Amino acid sequence: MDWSKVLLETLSSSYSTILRIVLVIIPLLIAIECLKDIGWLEKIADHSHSFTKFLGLPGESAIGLIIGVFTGIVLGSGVIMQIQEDANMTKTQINVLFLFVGICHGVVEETIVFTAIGANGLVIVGSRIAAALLFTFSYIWITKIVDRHSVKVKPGMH
Amino acid sequence: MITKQTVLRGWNKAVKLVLSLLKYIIPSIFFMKILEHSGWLVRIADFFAPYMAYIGLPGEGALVLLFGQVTVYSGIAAMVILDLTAKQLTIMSTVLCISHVLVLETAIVAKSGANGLLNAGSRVAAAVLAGFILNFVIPGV
Repeated sequence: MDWSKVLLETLSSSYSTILRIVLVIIPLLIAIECLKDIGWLEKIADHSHSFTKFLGLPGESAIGLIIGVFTGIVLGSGVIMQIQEDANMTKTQINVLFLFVGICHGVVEETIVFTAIGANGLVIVGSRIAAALLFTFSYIWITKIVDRHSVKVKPGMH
Repeated sequence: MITKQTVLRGWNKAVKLVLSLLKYIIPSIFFMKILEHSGWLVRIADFFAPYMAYIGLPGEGALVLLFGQVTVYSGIAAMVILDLTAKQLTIMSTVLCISHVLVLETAIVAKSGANGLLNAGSRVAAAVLAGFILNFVIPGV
């Protein structure tokens, strides 16, 4: 194996990759901090109560969902942990919330970085939202059927 | 309110992120280059090719998904080494976006009170399904 070639190509590939990421990440993170200070996350959360209702979640969970979807799972889960005590969420609701955030999180940073290396950002975001909706609704649907079934079966067993 | 501190905070976060990226991107690219020049990349690719073909990706794509379990950026670094078409790049990115750093993120999710197995399982299933559908939907090769 030609080690000098390996090293040289590593350096040139690393340089171009990092440069491409740096050029989008610095303005992006500054823009996100600006938007945070305007309070955009809270504003979006205020307008997404109908969406959380659509997922069968309490209105208080909107801010956790929005922070998770826009920034990432680490920050999102911290907020959700605080909310679930106040909002008295059921196990199913917590699973629904994390299913959505798990499939679809950190969308701003990830989408822009992947777009910078040549992928179609619109397809990425669209697919993630569609997949998140599909899996949360499948889960809600299955839990409902299991619940109904267990209620029906219990009296008949005696 | 946007002040000088806001911009400075963003700048500091960006510099910190870039510095941490160096730690992941350079070793990932180095490792991929070793695999490439030692001939192992072709062997690994040949092994995974039949499975990855279902989601429209070359066999090397399996390595990207593996590297993506360290950080998303390690996966990106592995991805730029490969010669992917525009279609493959979008599919690969979507799959990686949905299913990355599963061990760590599932641990966080489980600690927050959700079912970790359900969460991780759904993410893997969602990633495969998204790749499978996108392979049909996106025109081109």
